Amino acid sequence: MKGLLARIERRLLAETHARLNEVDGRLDEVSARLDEVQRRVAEAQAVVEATAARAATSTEQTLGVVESDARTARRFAQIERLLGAAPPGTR
Amino acid sequence: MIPTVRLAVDLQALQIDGIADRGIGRYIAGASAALARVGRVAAGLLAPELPPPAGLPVELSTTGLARFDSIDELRRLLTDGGPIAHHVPAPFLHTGPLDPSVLVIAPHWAEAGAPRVVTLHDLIPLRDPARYLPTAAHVERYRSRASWVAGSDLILTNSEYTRREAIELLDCEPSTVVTVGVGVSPFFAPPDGTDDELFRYWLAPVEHRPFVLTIGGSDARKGTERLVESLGLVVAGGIDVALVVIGDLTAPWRHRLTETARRAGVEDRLFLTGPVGDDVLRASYRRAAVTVTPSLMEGFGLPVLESAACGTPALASATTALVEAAATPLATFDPSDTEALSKAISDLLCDEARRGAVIDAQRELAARSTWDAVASRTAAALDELGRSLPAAAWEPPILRRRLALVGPLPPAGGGIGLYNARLLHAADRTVAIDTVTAMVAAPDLPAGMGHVPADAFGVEARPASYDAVVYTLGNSHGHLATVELALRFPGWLWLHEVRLPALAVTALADADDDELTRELTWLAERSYPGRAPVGAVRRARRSVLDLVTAGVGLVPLLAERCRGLLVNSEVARRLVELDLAPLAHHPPIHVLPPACPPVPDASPAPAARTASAERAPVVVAFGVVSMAKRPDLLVDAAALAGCRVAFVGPCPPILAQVIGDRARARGVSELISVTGAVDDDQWNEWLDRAAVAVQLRESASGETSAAVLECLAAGVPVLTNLATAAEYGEGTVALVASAEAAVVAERLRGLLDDPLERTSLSDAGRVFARAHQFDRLAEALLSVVMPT
Repeated sequence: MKGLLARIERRLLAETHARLNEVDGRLDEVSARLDEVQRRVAEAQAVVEATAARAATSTEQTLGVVESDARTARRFAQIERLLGAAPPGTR
Repeated sequence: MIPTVRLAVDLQALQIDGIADRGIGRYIAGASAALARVGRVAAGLLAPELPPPAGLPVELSTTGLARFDSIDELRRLLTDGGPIAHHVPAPFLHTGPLDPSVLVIAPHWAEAGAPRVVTLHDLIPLRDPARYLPTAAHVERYRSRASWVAGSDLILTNSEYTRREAIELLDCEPSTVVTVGVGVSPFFAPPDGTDDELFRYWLAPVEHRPFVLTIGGSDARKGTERLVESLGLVVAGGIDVALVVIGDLTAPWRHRLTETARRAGVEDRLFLTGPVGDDVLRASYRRAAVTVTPSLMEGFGLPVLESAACGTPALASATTALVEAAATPLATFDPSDTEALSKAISDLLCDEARRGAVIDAQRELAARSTWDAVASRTAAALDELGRSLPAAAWEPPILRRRLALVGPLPPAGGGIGLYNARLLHAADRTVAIDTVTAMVAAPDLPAGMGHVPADAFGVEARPASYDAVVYTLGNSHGHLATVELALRFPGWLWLHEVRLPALAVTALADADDDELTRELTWLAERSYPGRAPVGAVRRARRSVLDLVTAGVGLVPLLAERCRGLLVNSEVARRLVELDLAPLAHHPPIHVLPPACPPVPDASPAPAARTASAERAPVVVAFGVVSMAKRPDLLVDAAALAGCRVAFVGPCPPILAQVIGDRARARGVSELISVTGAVDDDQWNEWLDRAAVAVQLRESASGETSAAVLECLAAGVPVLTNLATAAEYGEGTVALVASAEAAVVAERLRGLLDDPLERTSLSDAGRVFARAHQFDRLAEALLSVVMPT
């Protein structure tokens, strides 16, 4: 009787372990998916922010009262040089 | 009594590479030092826009006489220093079509009307315009400058030849043109045995052989090619001699001279040193058999005297001022005749009597040519100027205070542009104000105010000519022109936001992810040396909100070279202090008061607004829509509170889509509207309709909302989480501590359900607005940046 109980107990424990491992695996999977979703949301929000901020001045650019993209790029490079940046490509 | 006239000497020639160590630079250093020794220099003025000076005499550098030129310095000089004349010893600097001519014709000196003295070295470009003035624009700029020179009260010249040129070419009144000559530095002295090793290091091949020395340049006028040709004839005549050419030669010119030497059969006798210092020059003078100046035109010809002072005779062209420098006809030759040049060299090398006569004459001239003598003649000319000009000419003028306001103006710049425009209209008209914008065409300005395009600031207008330059700065790439100018010409930095990563992120919108991360990381490392939050920057990528949350303000980049910082609130000041380098000295930070537009008499009284609000209560978010203002959260709050919300102001399409999607998801599409940009009438209509205005921010950037201030003036109750609004006094705005939808919704509902509170907020807002008008802001600004 004692041996029978011990066998049943081992079997149940083994099954429980297996189920737990399975649940753990699924939890890891869900967690990874959540991380991925969170990362994608953050990326989307960043793109929205940057695009929106730039678009806010698009009307002014059309009116010619603010500077073109090419001039903006030149200004940014010039500002970096004024701040002591090395020539492009050497950093 | 004759007033002792002193000079404010423009020393910027010593700040320009390629001029400081050449003839004009040496002339200015020598003459100004001698003038300082006799007490005729009130100040040596350096241009703050240019590199540090080279060869600044100790008489100026160690005595406090050398200072940076500015309108402040001008005022101090003219009020404290007795009769002062502005001396421009290199009046033809920056005469190219795109050159910053304002560095020479300094607007503040022009406006002060102080007597002007110039030193004229030559007018060679007018004699040979085909060579030196290649385009019509060059001709125009040079002639314009020449007219300015001709209009001077006193013109000093280095030679009688140059004096005649001034009278003939510039039509100057002869009595205003005075020859003061040149000086030879005592540094140029006969051999003393101290520089043998120096000479051997530079010119070992000619250490033990006779050589002809010339000071050359990459210019056919210098006649160096003909000298090389003549060397061939000299050597063919049986004289063993080499030729040393000192001077900065371009590669094509080196090739040209080498080829000429090869054709003349003296390739192995030609030595080109390139540019050398005065010590090598002196060592070369001392060892040369003869120094030759074969130039076709010179305003003087200093090498002739320097050579003689070192004990070596010199030959010079029988033209222009070189005739004076040569001291005797025995030392001159026709520079257009190769044979005449070779004969002059041969005669001088072989005829001891001739050589003796030449060196005696030139030594005597060199001994008389001292900088002290130049200073003495200049002082006499200044005394005469003091006598000839009326006493009123020496009275200190009353100069208007001058301000440059750099930054956007309508139709550009959104809220900051409008704020600037209102400030200008309210500013004290006794102050002369110029605006500087990225626009090429002048914006609408109050009468009397000027406009300078950003790219012309420093070229057509001189920052040092203003008592203060104020840079108004927001947080988008539209402000890059302002940032660039602020770094070039330090002034007061008015930060409307104090977290500036969006400046970089929006400017780098076209960069790929790797490039963006590299650039932002560099900016962070540059802002916070040794403690940059590099990990947070990499994680934030393009998210401005995440960069702000990570504490990346980037203000240190600008604060390191500014006169002071201006912010709009105590909150902003605290945030700036957190951003600057800890334990280090910082620029002063001043808090300016907020300013509201005029309180309209005709706007609906609070009671009327309340009645209107009861019929169709609308909550309005005024101003440019951006993610930082959390429009998604306001949609959520509208859904919870069950109220209508209108976004009134420019809205990028992508955000209109975000708002629409959010409203659909919450099932409140019918409650939400987005107007996009509206005109003034529509804007005012919305101000009338608004039951409550809402301004939310995701994170604290220290900004003051112009829309909030406008709502206060219009009597619209304001609900906000802006930390700066807490400074407006209790009861002026309805504050919420956090930007959570539930919190905002509850407070909104409360306000909409409580007409009395709305009325109270409306009244308090108007009171605040009446006490905070733009004239008060303008007064506060001027008292900080140009205190009387």
